[in-house]
Formats: sequence, C-alpha cells, structure tokens
Amino acid sequence: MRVIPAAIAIAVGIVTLLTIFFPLPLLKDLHDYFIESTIILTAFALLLGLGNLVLVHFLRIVRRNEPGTGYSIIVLVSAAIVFAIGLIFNLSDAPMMWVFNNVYLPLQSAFFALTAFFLATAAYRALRARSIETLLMLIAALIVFIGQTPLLTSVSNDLVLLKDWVLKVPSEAGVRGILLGVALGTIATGLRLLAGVDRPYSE
Amino acid sequence: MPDVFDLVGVWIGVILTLLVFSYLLHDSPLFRVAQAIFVGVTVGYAATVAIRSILVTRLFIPLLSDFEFYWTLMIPFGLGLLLFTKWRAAWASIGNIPIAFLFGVGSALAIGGALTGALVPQLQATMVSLSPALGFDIVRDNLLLAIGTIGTFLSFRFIIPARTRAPMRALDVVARGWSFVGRWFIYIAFGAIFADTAVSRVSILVSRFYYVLQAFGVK
Amino acid sequence: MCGTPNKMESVFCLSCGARLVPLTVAPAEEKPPPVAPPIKGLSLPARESPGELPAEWQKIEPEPTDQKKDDATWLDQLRNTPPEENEPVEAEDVPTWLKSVEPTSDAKAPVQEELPPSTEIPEWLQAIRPAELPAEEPAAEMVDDSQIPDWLRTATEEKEPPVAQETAALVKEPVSETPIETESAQPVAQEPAVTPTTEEEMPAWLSELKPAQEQTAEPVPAEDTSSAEPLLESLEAKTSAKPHADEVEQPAWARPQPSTSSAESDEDIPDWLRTLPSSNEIGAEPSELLLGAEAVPELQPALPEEVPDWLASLKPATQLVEDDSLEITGPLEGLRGVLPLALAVTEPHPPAKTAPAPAKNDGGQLFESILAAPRIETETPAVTIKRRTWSMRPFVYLLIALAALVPFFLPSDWIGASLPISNTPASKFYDAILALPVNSTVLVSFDYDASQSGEMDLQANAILHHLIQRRTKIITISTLETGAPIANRVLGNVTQNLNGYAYGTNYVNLGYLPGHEAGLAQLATNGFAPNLRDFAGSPFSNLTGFTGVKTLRDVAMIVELAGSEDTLKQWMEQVQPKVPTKIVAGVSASVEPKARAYYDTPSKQLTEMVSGVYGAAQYEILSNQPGVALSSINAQGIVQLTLIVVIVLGNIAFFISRGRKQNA
Repeated sequence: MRVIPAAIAIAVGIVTLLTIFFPLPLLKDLHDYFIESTIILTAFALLLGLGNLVLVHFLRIVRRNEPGTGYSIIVLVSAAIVFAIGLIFNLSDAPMMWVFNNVYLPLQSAFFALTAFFLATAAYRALRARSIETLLMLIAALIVFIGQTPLLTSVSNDLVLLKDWVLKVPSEAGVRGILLGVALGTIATGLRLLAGVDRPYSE
Repeated sequence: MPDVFDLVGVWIGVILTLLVFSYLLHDSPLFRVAQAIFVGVTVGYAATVAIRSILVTRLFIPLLSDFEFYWTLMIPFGLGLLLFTKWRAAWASIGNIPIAFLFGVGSALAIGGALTGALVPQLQATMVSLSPALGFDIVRDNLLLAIGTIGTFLSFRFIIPARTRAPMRALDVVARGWSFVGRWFIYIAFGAIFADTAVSRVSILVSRFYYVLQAFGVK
Repeated sequence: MCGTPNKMESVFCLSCGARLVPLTVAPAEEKPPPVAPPIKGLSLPARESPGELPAEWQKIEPEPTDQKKDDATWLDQLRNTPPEENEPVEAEDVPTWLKSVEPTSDAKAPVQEELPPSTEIPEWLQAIRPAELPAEEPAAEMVDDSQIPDWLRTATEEKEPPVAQETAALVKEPVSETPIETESAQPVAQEPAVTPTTEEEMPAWLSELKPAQEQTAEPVPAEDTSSAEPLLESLEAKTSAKPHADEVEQPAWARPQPSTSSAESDEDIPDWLRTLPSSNEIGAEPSELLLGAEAVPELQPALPEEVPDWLASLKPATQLVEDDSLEITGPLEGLRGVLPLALAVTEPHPPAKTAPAPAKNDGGQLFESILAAPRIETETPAVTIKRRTWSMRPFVYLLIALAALVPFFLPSDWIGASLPISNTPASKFYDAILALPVNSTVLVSFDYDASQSGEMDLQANAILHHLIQRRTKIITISTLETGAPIANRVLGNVTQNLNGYAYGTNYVNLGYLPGHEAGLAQLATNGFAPNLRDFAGSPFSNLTGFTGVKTLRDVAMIVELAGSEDTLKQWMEQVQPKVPTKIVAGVSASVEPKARAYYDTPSKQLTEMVSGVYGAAQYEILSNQPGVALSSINAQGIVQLTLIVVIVLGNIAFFISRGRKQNA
C-alpha cells in the first residue's frame, strides 16, 4: 500500500516538472490536467480539515464535561449560520457580504491589531544592544522606523535616504541570502520527494 | 431597510472589535466569545468558498453540463472523496493517495518556481559589477551586497566538508569566517523586517481605532 | 575517524560520532548471566515471553570495523523516514523485546519492510541505535541535525507550531476511537480547551505502560497478555489517523510542565517522568531508557505479580546500593533503585561503580559514559525578566493606545503635507500607471485578507482611483479565499458615484483563484479559462468588455497587492518567469524588506513597488485624491514615534540593570 502513493507522487511530479521546462503537447495536456485536479483536491482537503474541526467541537459538546463546551456551541452555531447563508446566497450577494464586512472582517482585523501591542512589548524587551548582532539589529530597526515616521522625516530627508539605503543594501543582502538558501532548500526537498527518498504523504 | 442592516452591522462590528480589545485588560470570557465566533464564521465561510468557488464552479458545473468532455474530472472527484477515508483509522492509508498526488504536483511546481523565479534571478542580482568607473558609492554598495548575500547564504551551510586535505581546510576556514559576517547581515535584515512589521501592525491598529471612532461619530 | 581528541572514557567521538571503543565479542559460553545486577533507569515491561530475551542476547556479533558504513546505513534509514512518521519511528525505537510482546500489526508492517535489516548489527542493537547518538552527546549543538532521530527532533522543538492548537484538536477525535483513549478520556476532559492533551502526546508505548501500571496496583496478572492488544490498536490508530502527526506530536516525556495536566494524569505518570528537569535534557532520556533496557542486564525486584517467571529468574543476588532512590508512589512503591533515571540526569555523577558485565561490556560502557556526562544546567534566568516585563506591559499598552487615539482629536494635516514625494518608489509607481495606454486592461490581484485590510485597503483605494482616472479596464482576482469579498468591497467604494464606468464593461471581479501555486501556474500558462466565472457566478466570456482578454499577455500590467510575502513569492515564481507582462506591487510594510529583493534584480522581477500606509499616503498626494491614508498618517507617525521611545527606554533600562549587576 505504500508503493502506490509513492508511485503516484513521483510520476505526477516528474511529468509536471518536465512540462515546466519542456512543454511538449502531450506532457502539457497531462500537466494541465494534473494542475486542474490539484485545484479540485485542495477544496476537498479544505473541507476535510474544516470537518475535523467541526467534529472536535461537536464531540466536546456531546461529552459535556469538558471546559469550553459553551464556546464550542458558539463555534458550531456561528459556523452553521454562515454556512446556511452561504448555501442559499451567492458569495457576492448582500447577506454574505454583510457577514463578511460586519463580522468576519472586524474580528480578524481586531485580532491582528492586537499584535501591535505585543510587538511594542517585544520591541521593549528584544531590541536591546546585548551584542554586536543585536546592536546591528537595533540600529537597523531604528533607522527603518525613523525613516518612515513623518514627524521625523520632515526634519531631514536624509533620514528617508538612510532608511532606503539600509533596505536596499545590507538588509537586502541578508534577505537575498535567505531567499537563495530557501530556494536551494526547496529544490532539494522537492527532488528528494520526487526521487522517493522522502515520503511525507504516507505514515 | 438595507440602511438598518448596515447600521446594525457597523455596531456589531464595533462591539466585536471591542470584545477582542478587551484582551488587553484581561483574558476574559468576552474575548473567548469573540474568538469562538471568529472560528465559527471562518469555518462557515471557508466551507462555502470551497464548495461554491471550487467544487461547484470547477467540478459540478462542468460534469453536469458536458460529461462526455469533462469525464476525466471524475478522477480528481474520486481522489477527493478518498481523502475522507482519513477520518477512519483503518482506511486512512487509502487517503494517502490523494495526498501523494498533491505532494507530487506541489513539489514539482515548487522546484520549477524556486529555480526560475528565485535562484536564477537572485543569483544574477548577486553578480554585481565592481568596476571603479561606477563611482565609489555604487562600488561600495555592490561590494556590501555581494559580501552580505554570499555570507548569509554560507551561514545556512549544513554540510561540514571533510577536513582531510589542506585546501579544503582553508576553504572551510574562509567559509566559516564569511558566514560569521553574513550573520550580521541577517541581523540587519531581521531588524528591518521587525520594524516594518511593527509599522504594518500599527497601521492596522490605527485603522481599527478609526473604524470604532467613526461609528461613534468622532471622525 | 575525524581525528578529534576525545576523553579516555568516551565511547563515541564527540565530533563525528564514530565509535572509539570496539564492541567486544560475547563468547558463546558467556551468555547473559542468569543473575544480573540491577537495571538503572527502566521500569521493565510487565510481561515477556520466556526465553525470548536470552535468545536475542545470543545474537550479539562482533561490531564490524567499518563503522561509517553502518552508521550510514542506519542513519539513512532514519533520514528516509518521512517527518510525518512519528509513530512508526517510535515503534522502531521500542526494543525488540517490547515488540515481541505485540501481535503482528498491519500498521507497522510497512515500516519494517522499508528498512532493510542490517546483517552486521544484531537486531536488538539496531533497535537502540537511533537512541545512541543523542544519549552519547549531551551537547545538543554538537550533534549534526540530520543524525537526530525524528522522535527526538520533535522533542526538542519547544515551540508549538502555529497550527498546533487546531491540529491538536483535529487529531483528537480519531484517536479517541481506540479503546485506550476511551479508557483515559477523563484526564483529557480536564484539560483546557487549547492545551494539547497529554494523552495525544504520549507515545503509544508509554500510554500502554500506564494502564499496565494501574493494573498492577490491584494485581490481575491474567490481563497482561490481553492488554497488549490495546497497545497495538492505539499504535495503529495513531499512525494512521493523524495527517498532521508531526505538527502536534510531542511525547509526554518531552513536556516539561506536567502541572498543566490534570491531577489524574499526573498520578499516572511515573516519578521519573514527573521530575524531568527540562526539555533540553529530556531528549536524551528515552535513549537512556532504551540503553538501560538493553545494555545493562541488571534487575531489581518489582512486585511479584508484575514480574514474569523468566524475569524473576534474573533476580539479583547483590545488595541494594546505598543511594538508590526509593519509589514512594505508583506500582513500584517501596522499591529502591528501579527508576533512578531522574537522578541520573539531574545530578553530576562519577563513573558508575557497577560491576562490569563481561557479556554486555559495550552497553555498560555506554551507560557509564551517560552517567558520567556533566549535568546540564536547568535553571532558566527568566524569573526576574518576567517580573519586570509584566510590570511594564500595561504601561506600554497604554502608551500605544493613547498614541493611536489622541491624533484623531487633533485637527492637523501638516504631517502629510511634508511627506517626500519626488523620486520615491510611490512616484515611480504613479508614473508607470500614467504611462499605460488608455483602455488597456490591468489585472489587480487582491492578495491580502481581512486582517490586513486596514493597511492594504488604503493602497488599493489609491491605486484603483488612479487606474480609473486613467480609464483603464480593471480585472480583479485573489489567490486567497477571503480576498474576493475585499476586492468587491474596495471596487464598490471606488466606483461609487462614477458614471460611465460599469461592471462587466470597465471592470470585473473574477473572485477567488484557488490552488495557490497551482492556480497561478494555470493562469500563467493557460490564461483565463473559457469556463471561468466571476465572483457573482456569471461566465467571464459573457462580459462584453473583456472579450479580447484571453491570457496574461493581453493584460498591460499586473498589480499585485501583497499582504504577505507568500503570495508575492508565488507570483514571482509561478507567473513572472513565464509571462512578459510587467508586474508591479503594492505591498504591506511588513513585506517591503523581502519585496526589495525582487524589486532590485537586473531582470526587474518587480518593476515598481509601493509600500504600506506611508506609500499609500504619498500616492494620494500624487494623484491629488487625499483620503484615509493621509488622514491616518498622523496617528501612524505618533505611534511609531512612541515605539521608538519604547525601544530607547528598553535599552536604557537594560544598561542600567547591567550596570547594577556589574557593580554588585
């Protein structure tokens, strides 16, 4: 049973990879078909994950003696309401847009906005000149901060130029090095998977 | 009537926002309620999108409208259904087949993308000119870019070369030294990323304050 | 092997891990002695088929000289193990004697198939090999990452992965189907909702030990063989039912805070587990456990009903060591020296004074070296820091909140007026759109979700306003599930009260483009599919204004509104190399440092870029349409200024406290 998934992953992967570099007609048809199938499969994967989440909350309600049962009820009820609206109305229709604009968006935005406070405390604690490395980090952070604070940049445009230089030269060098490392890592991991050395899809 | 809905909607949004911000005072049940609503709405919305935007549009409509032409879509349909065998422990290994399919295509796309969209252009960008004709500032910046990029890259080294031969040993020493310098560039990049992330979050915070104040008629 | 000088007593090289002391051959007549000294660090299994263990010991063969080759073989096996295979790997870690207790399992069979049996290493040694290296090398940084077995790797990952909360919940249900989980459902129920439960994280073999211990408390020896079945069932269920096992699995022994679990589960855990000092050290413990199990055939009496006959025959004649720890709880209550593992780890030890066992000399040396390893400091200096930050936190929160609030009550717009405009990325972006031919089509990808709409909407508004001013046709899509309604919202705002700019003719929202990389690769190679539908569900081909737009080559410019680096990366990797159309980006400030790497390439992966609310405000000035970005830039600036003050204060506090410490 372990051979079939490996064979599928390797065959599908190699065909897709070959088509990227050699778009021959037959290969391209297969490539297009695989891509379309992948897109369809992502929907099932998403539904599987959501189904699991719902099941967990449902079981918590059934067991009753667990803490957070009340919250699980809220999760399930709100999920059911939105899903029901989504089945009846289209995503672009007013009821779904109402839910999105007035419930989903404010909630997600607010959760993200909270991180501004956490980042502030993190800045207080973490950005300290403990060593050469952290000193460099602190200086870079301060320059980037100052370079886009209008109150300060109105004093001198050089602050903006300095920020641009930090982002353009030393920071970009670091980011580019990371990008190259990640690209090589991705290629190595992908090739291992296509060679059948790594099989993350089977237990 | 729609205006009433809009008004109610705005106030619901404001109340939910305030519930979330209540976390700053204390991790209260109010915050947990907001969290639960958010999870629920996300689940409902994502399920709707998965069904309407993918399954209906890309699977059911083509299959129902022209089965003769689109019959091949039955295979991803079947593979998708196989995924649900993951729910039952005894059948879960069957669910590995669609997952293997996803991994196969995903890794091929990732390899192609990393090669053509990251490795090649970023290497090109690292090959900078150091000609004095460019002027001191540009040569200095280019030199810093090259040293920093290569140093950062070297600090991701995982393989320790065999140190049996002298040239290899020398190479190893150089690489270690260079990667030490490269680490400084990583820290500078982290500093910049931290600051820019904070700027981004501040924008979002200000937008939420703006949203609440607008509802109260301040702005 | 590598030439690194090592200590005399070292068994393995600290640098390369090669064995320094050759394994000795057990002469045929020197079989494991019938009376063996006490085992350290292991609670022996409650059941074992008689005669099996000695048979395995007989299999000891001389260690081949080509150690590297062997290492490579079994390390390769480790490497070959996919990361998600936590459970099977754990199953492999279980010594052979424990495996032999279990009936044949379907779930485990494939794992064994994949690993070719080494002819050079005895079976029981193979079982413990993965555990050897980490145990042998206490300094974690010296261990090559690839050499660490998967189960240990998960143990050393202290931080939970971001999805851990959800996935922990996700995997809970299938596991609970198994008898063993149902049996121990009570402790799980006591856990807080978001805390990963102890039951899920405990390796299956440990879970099995737990009920076995409970049973021995009220002795029912007859149940011993039957209770092996739940073990396998739980193993099977866990190996097969967890798609994200690697993300959530952290074995119980790797969790340093038993305080989070319920009282019941606490009682179930043996003492040596409860006293584990820190997760740094804990990684080594199971290996010691296994080594102790296999390498040192020293036994202490357990409860009579717990010990099978064959084990009873090995009962030592030696006296109890003076400092052996006394078990005060659990099924081993009243016994000494059965579980001294915690002591072995937390306290510095001289080389153990146990009598050398000739037949198992190799294991004895190994165990000795473990005991002789220096103690790893477990104290974390976080206490004082924690106290200080706790007191600062409300102050920082208040400062930030006030800084964000106050500017809204101040009637000033002088800051926006002083923003630098000329020769900025925003002005170049503006010029690029200005250069677009009238009636050309622009694709705008709304790749940010609701969380970042507060920042990105301002950019989107400014850019769309300008595009409409230029009378370009706009197609919007989104590679995120929630990007399409945001596009709908922003388009609704900017096209409000506009005459002659109609949906379907001048602009269209194509909604969600699913599949991430796959979706973008399809768009890049095949363009807009004929059966494509817009956000409202109408076929794209029916929209009269866009009949000429078939592929991305028919689009004059692609505007990528990236809220995260992931979407930007996908566009750069899947679309940009395949399509000649220029790609410009409006990015969140948090993405700017990374987007720069694409912006400053000779091939101009990104031709133009505008960043954050700052860029949006500049754009509003450029297009002479002052909006929300300009009005909120005041508050933005004040909060950033406050953050700078907070950072400076943090450094002042740091240097003051450091000065005090130095003086003290």
